[in-house]
Amino acid sequence: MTLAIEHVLVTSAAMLTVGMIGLLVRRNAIIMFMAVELVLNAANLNLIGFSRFLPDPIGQVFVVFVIVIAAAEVAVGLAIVLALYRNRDTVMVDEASTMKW
Amino acid sequence: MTFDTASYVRDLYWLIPELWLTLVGFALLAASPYIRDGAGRRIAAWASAAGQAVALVLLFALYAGVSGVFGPATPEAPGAIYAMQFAHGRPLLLIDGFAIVLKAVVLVAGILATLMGIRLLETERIGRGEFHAVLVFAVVGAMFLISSTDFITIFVGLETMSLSVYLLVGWAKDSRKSNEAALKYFLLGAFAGGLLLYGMSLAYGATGTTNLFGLQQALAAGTPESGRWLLTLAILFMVVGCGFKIAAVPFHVWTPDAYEGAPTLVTSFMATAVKTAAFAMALRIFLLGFDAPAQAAQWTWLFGILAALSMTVGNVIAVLQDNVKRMLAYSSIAHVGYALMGLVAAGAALAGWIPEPQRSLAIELGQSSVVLYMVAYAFTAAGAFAVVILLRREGIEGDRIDDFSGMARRAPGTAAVMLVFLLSLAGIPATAGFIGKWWLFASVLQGGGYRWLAVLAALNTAVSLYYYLRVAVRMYMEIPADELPYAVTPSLTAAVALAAIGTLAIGLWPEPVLRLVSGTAQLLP
Repeated sequence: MTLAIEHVLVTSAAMLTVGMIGLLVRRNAIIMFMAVELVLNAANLNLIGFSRFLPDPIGQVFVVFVIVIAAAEVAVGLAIVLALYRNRDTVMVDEASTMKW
Repeated sequence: MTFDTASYVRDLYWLIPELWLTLVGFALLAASPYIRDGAGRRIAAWASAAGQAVALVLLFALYAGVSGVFGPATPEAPGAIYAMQFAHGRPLLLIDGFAIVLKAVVLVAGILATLMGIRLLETERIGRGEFHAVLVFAVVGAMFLISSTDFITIFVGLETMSLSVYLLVGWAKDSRKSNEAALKYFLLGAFAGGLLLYGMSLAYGATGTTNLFGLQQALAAGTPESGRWLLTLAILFMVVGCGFKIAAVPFHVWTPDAYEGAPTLVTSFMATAVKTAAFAMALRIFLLGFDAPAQAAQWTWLFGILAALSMTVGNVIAVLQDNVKRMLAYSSIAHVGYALMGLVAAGAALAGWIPEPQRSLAIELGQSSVVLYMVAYAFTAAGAFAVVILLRREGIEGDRIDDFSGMARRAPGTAAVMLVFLLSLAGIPATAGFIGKWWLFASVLQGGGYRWLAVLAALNTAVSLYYYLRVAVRMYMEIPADELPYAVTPSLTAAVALAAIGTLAIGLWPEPVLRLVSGTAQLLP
């Protein structure tokens, strides 16, 4: 069996689904954050796959940019979670509900 | 492909405002460890505002000196002043009238936010020097995003802006509200960025290009049957991603919390600069990239639904609020609904639902009315948030509607100016809000089956009058809630005055702004 674009698309769709479900059902900020990263990586996988099968190099260039941005996002995200943890001793988002409506 | 020094230098020439601002940001960052006292922080804030003002001057200097400097930018974008290209020969960044006007809006929003917040940062004890550096970087990201015409540059610009704003929202490290606001904004904002990126990757797969001009050409040439479902999915993901970023219902859940929890100057920046840049992104993607009739037919009705939901839900929930920042957050969601009318009108025309000769008029009017609304809303919203900052004093949060009680007796001038902002938000004639709404209504009334949106918007305006005037009633008809003097400072007064002048000038003498804005409708080559 050779690798076809359908395999890449199905894998990335699965990663996207896991990411979306993770964001919706998990309440731990770190896990939700990981789910978001999964969505980004699903898109990366798509870009790489299309780049390979089109073929066209721009998709790979795009992925490099996305990886750098995702790294910056990790730094910002962990800083925000850390600030929350210092004030509340928890990273569960349902306990962070001072504001409603 | 050889490296062409001349074209590289020429590219940098057109990025002078952004490069200058980046320098300002790094200078503020480098200086921040040495700034320890209040006086130093005030100087840093004024330096940041001055740096942004210089960028504004540079921007208009570029604009004034453009005619015939480099000739037509590229055959693909004849309306543009200059287009920055890459190996594949298509524009990555476009310097056109649209970009220059909206960049000016973002810069004005940045200057107003910096000025209004100087005292607030001291009261909240969050005035560390890096704050202004991060704010300036957010402005740079927004300006970059506004010029972007390629998925890569759009994503980089969007995230440069968003990452900085996540930090700004959570800047009050010791405040639980600020932590919570930052976490909610970050998780949903990053998720929205991911969905947008997923949509971009699918569009890339269907057409083989990440460039909006390339996408336009590929779609005009017709897509093969196999790529059609990919494109439909791509449009769906991108509408959702953009919906999150511009805060349209039902993707608005983060907005009220982020707006309430963030330091008020950051709230003002989010409601004005970030919203403007996100709208610019949506206009570029959908009016430039997906302008083929088949695709326009798909996204137009999606945005039509978002517009109807945003204006209705935003206004109705705003009525229930006691917190003025939260009320303004829901009001900003409603205003997103109004502004989306312009995009829907242009989309309906692109989809071919409006026959010639109204078609081209509807496209132009749709685009420029959104730009006009962003200009008008930026001044009005920034002014309203600046007055809210006035109420924040040592020991008094000052963000409840009750805190406005008796303002007319204690500070008649400020109350009158706040009344102007409220009337402008409601869209009463002689204010900027009226001019903006007028064009949006005109664009959607061109036809194309979305006239009902104008009716809905008119009904919603009536609802919105109720909660805007509720604040006015507090100011004019009730006794003062407390005796503590308002937090008046020269910088805050300057910000309020600037915003009021902008709001009234656009409302009373709209001609210059209208001429400027109608020159921006060259998005579609």
